[in-house]
Amino acid sequence: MSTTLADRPERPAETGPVRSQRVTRRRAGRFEAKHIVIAVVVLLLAYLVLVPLIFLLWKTFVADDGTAGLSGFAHAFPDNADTWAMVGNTLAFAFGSMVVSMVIGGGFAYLAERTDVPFRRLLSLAALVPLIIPAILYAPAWIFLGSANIGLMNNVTGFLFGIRPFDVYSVWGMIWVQSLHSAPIVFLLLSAAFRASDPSMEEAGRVAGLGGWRVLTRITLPMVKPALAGAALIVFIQSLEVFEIPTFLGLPAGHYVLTSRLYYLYQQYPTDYQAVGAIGVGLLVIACLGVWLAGRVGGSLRESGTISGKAFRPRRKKLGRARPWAGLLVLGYFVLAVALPLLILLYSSLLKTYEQPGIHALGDLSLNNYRTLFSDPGIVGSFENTMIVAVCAATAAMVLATVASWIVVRTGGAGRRFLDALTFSPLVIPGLVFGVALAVVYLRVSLPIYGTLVILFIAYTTRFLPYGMRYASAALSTVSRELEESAQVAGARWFTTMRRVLLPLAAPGVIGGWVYILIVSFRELQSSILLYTPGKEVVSVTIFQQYQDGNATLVSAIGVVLVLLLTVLVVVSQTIAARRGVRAE
Amino acid sequence: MLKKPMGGLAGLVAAVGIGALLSACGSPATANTQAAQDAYAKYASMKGKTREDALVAAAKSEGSVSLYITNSAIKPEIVPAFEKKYGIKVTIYRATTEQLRTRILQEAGAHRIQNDVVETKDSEMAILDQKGLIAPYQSDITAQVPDEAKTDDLVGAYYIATLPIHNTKQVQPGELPKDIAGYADPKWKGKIAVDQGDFNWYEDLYNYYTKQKGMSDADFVKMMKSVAANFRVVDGHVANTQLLQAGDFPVFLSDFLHYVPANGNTTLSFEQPMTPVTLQILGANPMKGAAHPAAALLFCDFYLTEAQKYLNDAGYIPTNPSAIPGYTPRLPEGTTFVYDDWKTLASDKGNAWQQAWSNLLKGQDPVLPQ
Amino acid sequence: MLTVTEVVKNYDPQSVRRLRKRGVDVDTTRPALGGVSLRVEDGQFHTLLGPSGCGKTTLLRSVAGLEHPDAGEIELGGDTLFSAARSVDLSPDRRGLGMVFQSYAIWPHMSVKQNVAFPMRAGRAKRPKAEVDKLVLEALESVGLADYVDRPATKLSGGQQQRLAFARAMVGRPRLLLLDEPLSNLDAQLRASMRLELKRLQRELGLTTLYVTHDQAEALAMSDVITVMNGGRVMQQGTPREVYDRPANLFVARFVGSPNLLPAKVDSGSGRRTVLTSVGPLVLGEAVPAGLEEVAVVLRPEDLEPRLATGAAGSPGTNELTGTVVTQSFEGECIRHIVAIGDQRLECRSGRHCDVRPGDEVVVSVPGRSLSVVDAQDE
Repeated sequence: MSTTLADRPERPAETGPVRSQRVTRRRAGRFEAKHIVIAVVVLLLAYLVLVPLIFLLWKTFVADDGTAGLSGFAHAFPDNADTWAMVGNTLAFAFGSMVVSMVIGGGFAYLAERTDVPFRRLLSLAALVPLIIPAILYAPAWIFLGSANIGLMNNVTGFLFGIRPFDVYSVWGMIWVQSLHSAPIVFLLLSAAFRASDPSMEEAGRVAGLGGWRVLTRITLPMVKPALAGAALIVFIQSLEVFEIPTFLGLPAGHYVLTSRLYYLYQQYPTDYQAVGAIGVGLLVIACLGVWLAGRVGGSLRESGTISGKAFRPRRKKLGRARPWAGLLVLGYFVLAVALPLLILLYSSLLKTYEQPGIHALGDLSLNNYRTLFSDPGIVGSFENTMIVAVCAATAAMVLATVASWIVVRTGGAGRRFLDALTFSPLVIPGLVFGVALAVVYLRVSLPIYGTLVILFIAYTTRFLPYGMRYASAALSTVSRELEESAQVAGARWFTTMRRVLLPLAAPGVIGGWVYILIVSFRELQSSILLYTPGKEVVSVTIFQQYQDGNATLVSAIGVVLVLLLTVLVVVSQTIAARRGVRAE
Repeated sequence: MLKKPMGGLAGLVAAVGIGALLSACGSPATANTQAAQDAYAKYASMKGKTREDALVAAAKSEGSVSLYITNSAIKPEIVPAFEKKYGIKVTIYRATTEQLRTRILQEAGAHRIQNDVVETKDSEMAILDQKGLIAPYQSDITAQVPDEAKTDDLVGAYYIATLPIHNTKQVQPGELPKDIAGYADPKWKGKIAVDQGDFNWYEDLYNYYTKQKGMSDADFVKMMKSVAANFRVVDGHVANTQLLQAGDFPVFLSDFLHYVPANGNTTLSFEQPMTPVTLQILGANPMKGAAHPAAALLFCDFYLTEAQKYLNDAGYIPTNPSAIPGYTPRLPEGTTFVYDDWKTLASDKGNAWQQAWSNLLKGQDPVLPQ
Repeated sequence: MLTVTEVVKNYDPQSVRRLRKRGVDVDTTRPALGGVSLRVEDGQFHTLLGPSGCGKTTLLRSVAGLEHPDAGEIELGGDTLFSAARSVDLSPDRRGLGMVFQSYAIWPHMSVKQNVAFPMRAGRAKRPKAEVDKLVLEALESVGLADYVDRPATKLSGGQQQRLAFARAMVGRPRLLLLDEPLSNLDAQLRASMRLELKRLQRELGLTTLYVTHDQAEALAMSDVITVMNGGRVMQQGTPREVYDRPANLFVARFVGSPNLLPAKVDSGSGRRTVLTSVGPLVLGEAVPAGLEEVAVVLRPEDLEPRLATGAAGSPGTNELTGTVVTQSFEGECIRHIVAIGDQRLECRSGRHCDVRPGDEVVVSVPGRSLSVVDAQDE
């Protein structure tokens, strides 16, 4: 028998969308584990983020006497040439740093993941060491290397060629040092994406007659667009916010940036929270624009499932004749970003006070700083405290970020963009405002939070959530939705699907995020210094105090120990990640 | 896949945020304040050995003392000596002056004072006193402290001296000008560092030249502008003293005396200090809301007596040198001192001086508070 | 037995974006599924056939629980999987189905064995390990992958991954097997052999199967029943032969096979058995239903064999059209001619021994029973 539509009565449905039926469609009754997890995570996230965020907005728009207004913006950005110069400097610096660090970080990520470049292991080290070296030492290390007067590099070129070409006290110096400092996160985010993308698409491009450059711009880069956009955004915001580099390198050359203004405001009494907040709100607007733009440029995150479960085979490209040159490039970068600063660190950790390298200094070398370090219960204790807080915060942030990214990447609705922007906002809340916000809330909560390590745990989890989100959503968006769906249809519960399918596939990115948060937790000072508990110092506070005490060389020793400790941790976790993820041939 | 629950997300989030703010509004109060006042009153009239014995006995039963400090010599030297002498456990919170103030104000706002003693500089102490947070320090020891080191709120334990420090490998003492006007010479361009936070030093110079030397505002401005043309603006005394020592620049105009170690280091020198040398007064005060008032007083007493030796060793100028056997001052007799105008700095005028200094550094006008 | 009743699904913005990205023109004023009903009997191989964006994949995913319709009901073996009226929407893991995705969706971090064992180890229907091992091996043997048990799934070739996907979908003997264009990623030769193998497996295991494809040859060769869809609606349901021989409308006629379509008017004088076309009257095998006046006559090229005009007259009940061969192309299994009859050109396909040449005067005979008509207006 043959049935046609003509045999059936006409239905109203055929005249257009059946909007009226939408309401009835809700899945009533069954509330699954998935929904509970999502609700809990969303609530926790909202709580963690909104506490400082609402505080920021409140302090920005409401003066201490209770009147609402925009005077904070007038204080933070008075309408004069000074402000415009400051904004111009800031944008030039941030944009320059973004471009340079994207080129460096992205280039090396491509080399490391997609080619047979030699010394690959060095690159993953180069991606982490600059992050671990205490910020308070990193900029001075570059002064010792690149200052026009005393820079080691100038001494070398001066001796060899009679010229002193380097001047780290300049916009270029600032951009260079900041880029070396930001390149790691670009490298880490992009290597996860490159690792996951399918080389056969590039091969197809080659076969279709595209040149190398066009394959790069038309195929390779678009494939990793979400990671690319996310990394660019983070690096840009980081450059807007960094303190040490502009103050060390920019100020002596007369370059004032946004953070100089922030510092100026911090010093005032009574603290002009309205103006500080206004800068935070300004950054927030930029960040929201960025999230939106990254969403547009990067395409919708959900579309880029490159691990599709279809003949997916990561392969490395043979560099051929270019291989030795690429190897040289990697070595050069390693020397510049890792070896030189680390050597300066190691050298000064063996001294009592810093002096220029030379024969005369050899006699002063000793291990005294290391003896002090390991025998001082305060310093050892601060390592323990930080380790506890950092591991907990990194774990909590990645758990939250992974679930939140899943919501952003995998579900529809207006809420997900909001969630995306919300989880990004802690990145732009100035450290002081952040610290004060947590103090204000938890001083009034009778739970044992203020005055314990818990408040630092909350602070780090919240502050570093944005990094976790970028890592997790970049990792998740590379996993094709069908891999999850096939597990569901095969009868796996949501939880099982997450655990057995999605997480293992996203593991390299998620563990990468965990490592990153662990490392930056060791650095965090701005809110730590306000919130730490006497007797329970964390490493960043110890470093700050030792530095203030004039023990810069002891701080160098702490830096060396940190580099060793965290490198071991990182290598261990990367080994685990490599076991879980898809292996490249 | 889940789709619809996201629609309600915004509402959920808003509810949580409001909840968080509301929870922040209720606040537990503390009853420490009255107990501490009574204790301070009780010990105020006691003297010498009697006072010390009574304080030690009470402090021992209190068991510990919590210090909020800015001074870097307290932790390595003074606290161990105090703990050793009295057997009272000391916990320390240490930060910069602004951070210290912020933390105390937050804790006070929530009625949860966490510290017994605050140790910071004159203008900060004045701010805390305006907020009614610190108790006046009363003791017979104050008689040995010169009047210049006392403010309404504070009995100073030491001074921080601001003066030029130079790198001896790059300049000889003879080359250094005797006063600030000498640095207007173009040969100093980019070689004389000033910290962008040192507006108190700038105000001190102003007070010295206009009030003590009778210079007109216009002349002062003219002099400072010509000197400022040579400034190398830096941030952070500690870090830049390191760079000074490494030879990155030869002179740090507004550096601190205590960064030149008392012995051993020959690279840094403050010889032939410029006139005037400006002084900040710093000291320790008990908190009104202290949980351990006797221990707090005991520490403040200790700070003005036995700790003086350690403060002196650390490069500070002690206010009670009678507590140091065989004391010889580091700065020569006859050095001209100007004291920080802490009253102005703790008022709205302080911000005006900050703005004026910032303008001077950037080559903008006006360079005096309006 | 699967029953889908009156399922309606509106476009959501995401799937519109996804479709537009693939270059499909989406008319969002119409629903993605506009009230689709169908029935798959136990053991039946039922195919959803239609062009890109016709809603066939949406329907399949709605059955799987991966999409959520706005109205209608879906039942499987007496269980309600989805019902808008009763607010039932079982999650995919509770539906007890097997599915092969277009991209295979092989989990690249697992071995071949782990992939196949997953539904029984991680799914709701957990089974003891020994049984799982046995079933996995059986499933892999049936698709010829028994030698690859412990290999990482990514080390398989495309065809092998395809087989692995089948093995995984079938291993638990699901109540219903869903196949979403599973052969579209294979090369032509592999596709042909997989087609047969897939059909064999389905028969052997007696799996009730819902199959989605846009390839009409695939659909005709494999299906017990075909549902032709377009624009979110069912155009026709029937056996391959019914769909092919008696298309329900112009769309089906055009989409299944590539017939010659001649506009025609029904000649009511002949008991509605004759239609008038530009090539003259054509006698049909059966009467045109009442109400149809403007029609299109469907002439399948394979039913048209030109022979030289000099030959004997055709048998009774056969329409004879006279024309000239315009072009000829040899295609191996057949020869294709274009014959001009007046202004009308007809495509004919004849046996490989047919010897007419371009320029020849030919007679094309068209048996009345192989002709069908569709409403010319209806699309």
